[in-house]
Amino acid sequence: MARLLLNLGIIGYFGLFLLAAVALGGYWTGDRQQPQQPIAFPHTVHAGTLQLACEFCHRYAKQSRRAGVPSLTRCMSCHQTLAAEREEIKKLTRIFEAGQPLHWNRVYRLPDFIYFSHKRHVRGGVPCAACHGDVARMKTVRQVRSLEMGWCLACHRDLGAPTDCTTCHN
Amino acid sequence: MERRDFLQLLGLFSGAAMLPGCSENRSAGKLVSYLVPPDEGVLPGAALYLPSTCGECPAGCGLTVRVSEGRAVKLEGRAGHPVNDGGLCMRGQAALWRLYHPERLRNPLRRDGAGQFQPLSWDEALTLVVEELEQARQEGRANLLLSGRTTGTLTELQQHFCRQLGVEPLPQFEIFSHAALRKAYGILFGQAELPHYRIDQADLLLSIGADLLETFVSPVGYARQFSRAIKQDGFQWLHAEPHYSLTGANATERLVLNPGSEAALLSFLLLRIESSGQEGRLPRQLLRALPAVSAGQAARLTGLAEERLERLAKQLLLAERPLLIAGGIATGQPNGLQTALLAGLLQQQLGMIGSRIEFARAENYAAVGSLHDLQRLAERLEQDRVGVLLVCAADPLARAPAALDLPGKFKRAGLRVGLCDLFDDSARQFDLLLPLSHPLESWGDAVPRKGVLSLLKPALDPLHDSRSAGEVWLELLRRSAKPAESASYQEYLFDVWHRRLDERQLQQFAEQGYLSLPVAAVPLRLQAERAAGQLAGAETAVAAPWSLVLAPSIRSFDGRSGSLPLLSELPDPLSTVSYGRWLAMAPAAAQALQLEDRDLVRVAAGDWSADLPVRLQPGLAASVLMIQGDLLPEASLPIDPRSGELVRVLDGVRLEKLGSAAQLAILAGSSSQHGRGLIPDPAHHAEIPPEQSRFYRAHPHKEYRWAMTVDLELCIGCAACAAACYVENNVPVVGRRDHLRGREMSWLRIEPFYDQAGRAGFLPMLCQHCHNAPCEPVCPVYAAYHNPEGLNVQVYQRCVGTRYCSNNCPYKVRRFNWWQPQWQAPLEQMRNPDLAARDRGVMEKCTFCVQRIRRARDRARDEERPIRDGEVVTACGQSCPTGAIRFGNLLDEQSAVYRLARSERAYRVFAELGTEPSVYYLRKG
Amino acid sequence: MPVVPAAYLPLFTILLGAGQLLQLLWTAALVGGMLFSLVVLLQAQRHRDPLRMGCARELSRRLPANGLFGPLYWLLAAVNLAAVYSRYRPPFLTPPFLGSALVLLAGALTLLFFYRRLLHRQRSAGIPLLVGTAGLLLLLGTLVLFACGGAALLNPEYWPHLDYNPLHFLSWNALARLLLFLALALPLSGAALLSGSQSAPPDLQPYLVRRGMLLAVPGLLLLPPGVLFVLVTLPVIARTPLGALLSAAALLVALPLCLQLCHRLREGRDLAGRPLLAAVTLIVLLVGLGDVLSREQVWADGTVLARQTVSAGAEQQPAVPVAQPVGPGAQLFRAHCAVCHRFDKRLVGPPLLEVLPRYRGRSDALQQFIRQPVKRDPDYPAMPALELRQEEIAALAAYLLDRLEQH
Repeated sequence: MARLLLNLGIIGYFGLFLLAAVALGGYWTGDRQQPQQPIAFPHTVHAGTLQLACEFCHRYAKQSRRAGVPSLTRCMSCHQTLAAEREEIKKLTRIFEAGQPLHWNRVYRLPDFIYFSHKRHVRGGVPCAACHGDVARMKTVRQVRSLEMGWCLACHRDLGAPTDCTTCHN
Repeated sequence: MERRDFLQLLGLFSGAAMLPGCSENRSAGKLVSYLVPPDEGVLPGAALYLPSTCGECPAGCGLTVRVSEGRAVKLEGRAGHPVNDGGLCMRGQAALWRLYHPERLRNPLRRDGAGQFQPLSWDEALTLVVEELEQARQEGRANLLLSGRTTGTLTELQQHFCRQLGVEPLPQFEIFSHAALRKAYGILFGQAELPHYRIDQADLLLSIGADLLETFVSPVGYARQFSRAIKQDGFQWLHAEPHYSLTGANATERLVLNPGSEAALLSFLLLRIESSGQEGRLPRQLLRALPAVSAGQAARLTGLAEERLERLAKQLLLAERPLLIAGGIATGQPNGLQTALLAGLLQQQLGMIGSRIEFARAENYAAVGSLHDLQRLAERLEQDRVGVLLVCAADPLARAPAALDLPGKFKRAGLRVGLCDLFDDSARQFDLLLPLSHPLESWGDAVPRKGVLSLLKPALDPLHDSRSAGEVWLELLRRSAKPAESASYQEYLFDVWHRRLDERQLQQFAEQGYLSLPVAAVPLRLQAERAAGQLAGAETAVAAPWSLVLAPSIRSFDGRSGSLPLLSELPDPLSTVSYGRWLAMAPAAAQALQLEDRDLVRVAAGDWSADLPVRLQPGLAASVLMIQGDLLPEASLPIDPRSGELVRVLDGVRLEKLGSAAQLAILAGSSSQHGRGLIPDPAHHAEIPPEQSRFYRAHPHKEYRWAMTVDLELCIGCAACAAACYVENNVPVVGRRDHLRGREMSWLRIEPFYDQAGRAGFLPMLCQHCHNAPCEPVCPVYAAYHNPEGLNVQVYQRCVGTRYCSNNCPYKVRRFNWWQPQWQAPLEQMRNPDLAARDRGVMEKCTFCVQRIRRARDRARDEERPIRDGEVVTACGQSCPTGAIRFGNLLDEQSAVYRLARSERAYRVFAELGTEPSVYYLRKG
Repeated sequence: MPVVPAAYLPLFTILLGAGQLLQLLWTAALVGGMLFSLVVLLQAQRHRDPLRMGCARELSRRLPANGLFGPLYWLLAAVNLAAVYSRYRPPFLTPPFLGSALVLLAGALTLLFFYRRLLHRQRSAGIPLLVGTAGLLLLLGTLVLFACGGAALLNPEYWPHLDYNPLHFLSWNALARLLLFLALALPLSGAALLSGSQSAPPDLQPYLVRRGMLLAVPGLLLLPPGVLFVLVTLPVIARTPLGALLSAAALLVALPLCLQLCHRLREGRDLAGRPLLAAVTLIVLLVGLGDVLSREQVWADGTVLARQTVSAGAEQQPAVPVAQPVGPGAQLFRAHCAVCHRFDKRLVGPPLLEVLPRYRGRSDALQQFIRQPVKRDPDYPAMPALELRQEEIAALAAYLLDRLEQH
């Protein structure tokens, strides 16, 4: 009896944590930091080889809260002729010709209750890479910063940006 | 201007044009690449502000629609618009609730044999209508169109449609048709129009029955005018009415009349002014026809003191620019037409016509009929002479008096086609339902009054498979192989505008969303003989006790806005009752019957009766009972045979105490201030609360210290601010059950306080953003804190819901989320994305619209300057029709709030507690 | 980025990981053994028990810091630090930090060396106890530094702010790592005791075996919360599903071990030492591998190094143009042409300075080309028509020819 109890106790104890660890693993597999995109867009080519400025595609980074993703017309302005034979570009062309919008998976996500403005940060002199890393070296873009409040605050304090709650919290 | 350029200018920034690249589906974690980039000047993530026109009531106020991520999220009054000039009433604020109403018709429906509604396509529905029209024509039955009030191009198209398809257009249906007034002006001057009154030009306003601040023609416009008038020295406003209205509560003096005695009052005034010999003389035959009412008779009939009546006549004579407005309840009586005629005569006698009463800018009611027309329709229906009956944007079934038995007679029409937006009880009476687009989804124009052209342009793509009335008429024309002229209603409108407006006007129209057009003077001549013949029967006996007044409701207009949940959630400003219906009664009368608030009574008149809870209304005459006009359909109210207006005052009403109490959501704790000086008596001006020693450290403010001033002289208690706050801040609507438990959520409320004489004062109460906030030190998790700009901030993510802050707040302005707020689809699309959704168990309250401060700061930083005075306008201040609420930086000595906060009228509520609120009230006088 | 040539990066990373695992194992054995030895010594002194005294001596003799092991261990730590530095360049690995960590470690090792000497020479246990405790504390001090450093390696986003607020060096993850380290050190030294008991004097053997088992059990019980604590305190970007699964696998290995130990202890039976040692080593390896995976996740391509990020950006703050006065031509060029063309070098299209001269003075021809591009050079893909308005094309052509003249 005692043996059974001891067995059960230890197995239960380990099992609990084991389950928790496995659950965490499962939760983390949700492609959260490096989601696959409907079109394998290589930043390595566009931002790396071609050295396009971020703003060439993310046109609104300096003017709006959102940096924005490029419209398909923008993509097609080059890809009508360039690399048109590649499989991914064909995919793009098909979507464009079908007149459908393209749904990219978000890499960076902030909760609803946070106000964040690309414009303020970009105009304040924070380089894109400070938060997004060197996307020119990422085949598939992934999240390279935790986006947790402590990190935001560390930078805000460091640079003397406002740290009042209402600055970011809606 | 080239047609193409104009189209481009108009199309620019229309809601549909901004969609690309802007919206994102946050919850699904997607970023969307659209086909084409948004138009130049449209930034994703930034809100768009589009002009439009409010369609919630016939006033036609100009709107600025804030469109965020492809959705309309807030309506604001359009500054400079000739109708409302910036303000917007609570119904206008709630118009978004109609747009996103969960019960909106989503597609055409047809009743099948079993009485069930089955969806069908527009194609099938319109084909059916065309066929039925044709069949009825062949059978010799009349096809009729009954429409709600339309103006502008839609009216013309409707007429064209009717002409081409042989449909007979009935006079348009509005229950507030102002038929008596129009008829009276027609008899007197040959102009059966509703003139535009200029309160702002007057130094003495005498209003009789007209509820200028609630539903009378253009309440926001009149409130705006009132706010201008009151700034002149010596402006006086006398309001005479039998019941108690918000308008009466805001007049300088409220004259309580016996019901039905308005004509007597006017006759007396006419004769007294005539005999003074100072003003223009009336023609002899008119004088002879005038009922000879002496001062004594007038006093007996009206219930006013003889001395007061004499003084009233003198006031009118002494005033340089007097203005008389009669209407509303005063003309909704058996002698309403005489009252209107006498008022017209007095207006003529005192020289108001043509100056302060402008027929050249008449309100556009020409196409509106009266209840006579509805009676005639009922007769025709009864005789089985109606084939297809088209009912467009009108709800006669719910609004018309029950005596007409419209629902019953409707069944005799061959095919009843309803063009409506909500799938409600009235809609279920139709055979075929065609979903109407909301004005915010449609192209159009409005001519609320002569000389004003107001633009409607879609702020978003239609949410459902709906069409605007104009599109439906055009499509029906096309299907009947009649010349339809334009491919779409949008094209049709563009053509009309392009034809009528010159280049400069087009540009202006497209840019500002409205246009003031020149008006032609209207020659007026008093037609004494015709008028004289109509004056008989003006006198009325004093009413028997228990007169029942059906007061128009500021919350639902004629009942049409009653289906919007927000307007049930907002309490009636006078009684603070939110949900349900009630019978208002004078406290003295109630005491005599041993009745208290919520006691159930049975009111009966003729064969109509209703069981209603009592709500004491200080200031109401003892013999008068009052219910809100939403009750109309149940009461079998008579129709005035002379004017076709609905009689809204019933005599000889029976009252029976039932002995039980009902649940009634009364949100006010008390109607009395209990001597706490919340709204200080002007007599105690000099009293300055003693300086308090501070216990807490003062908060330093570097650049900004936000503060608000509320001018109680301007505040009319209309609660537009409260409605605006709900919409701007995603304040959840919690419903009747929570209200009965005292769990309302409004961040801003109007508190009516009554003095002994029944005079009301209105106090908008919101978070006072105290400098020494009692809520802050009691929060165990620092969720309530004071920010460097003087805001008392609630951090929702910290809040754990102890509610200590609420307990410690002397102003009762903190609200607790007892439930997870629910937004029934598609209402969730209305939510302002600039704000977080609060969860269950979290305390919330007014933030001084911190998101607007943030927006202004963002703009200011772009231009590297401090925020300018007046740049931050809170939602409440924006919506206020009288501009009573100002907001700004108290550290800026040039700012309006700095000046106002230091005016000698300024005081702060509960200043003696030492909380140092940032909201300064300005007392009257 | 790293000083290590990119080609050798994988190899280097593997070596680095191996070195770290070795150091982890080594340190665990050292700390566990030292801790146990001190406890036994304390008991021996209190009970005046020669058996335990002998045991303590025996233990100290087997510490993996004796003789040549001490300097070797120190060297391993130094090499590891250097490797970390050359791979990641963390800003906190400054000479003072490096120096103090290595000096601290050297001090700890010296004290441990003396501890053994004193224990074997002295009759009384007091002085060796003092010296040993001091040594252990110093060792633990270096461990705190290593734990914090290890955690900070997963958190490069805080590096730019370390200057401003050095407290960012501390983290919950570091604490979790310390806890986990203890949870690994105890069973490891316990297993080492068991497997080494055969070579001990016979009278000591049962005692050692019993103590070894007793030492392993609390460590194993501490393992699950320790592992989970580390997982949940991992920075978002260091979270890998595989890492979590490796941790789970470590727990899976630890479970039967713990069961066995408990039952044997209860029934008074011994447990074979070597399998236990192998199992515990496996656990350490699994956990360590998870850590390496996390770090590699954080340091995959594109994680910008600290110095390049925010502070640098802040310095050039005024230089950020809010509204630069540029002509329409320049704007158009940037918006439409710069994707494919530079003036001086080949990108997608040819360098403009090569192709533009043929249009010198022939603005019309250039405009015609922009309007309807024709493929000229087979080396390059065809240029798409840009669908610009006439005035835009004119502005663009003027700008291009203008730039040509400037060069």
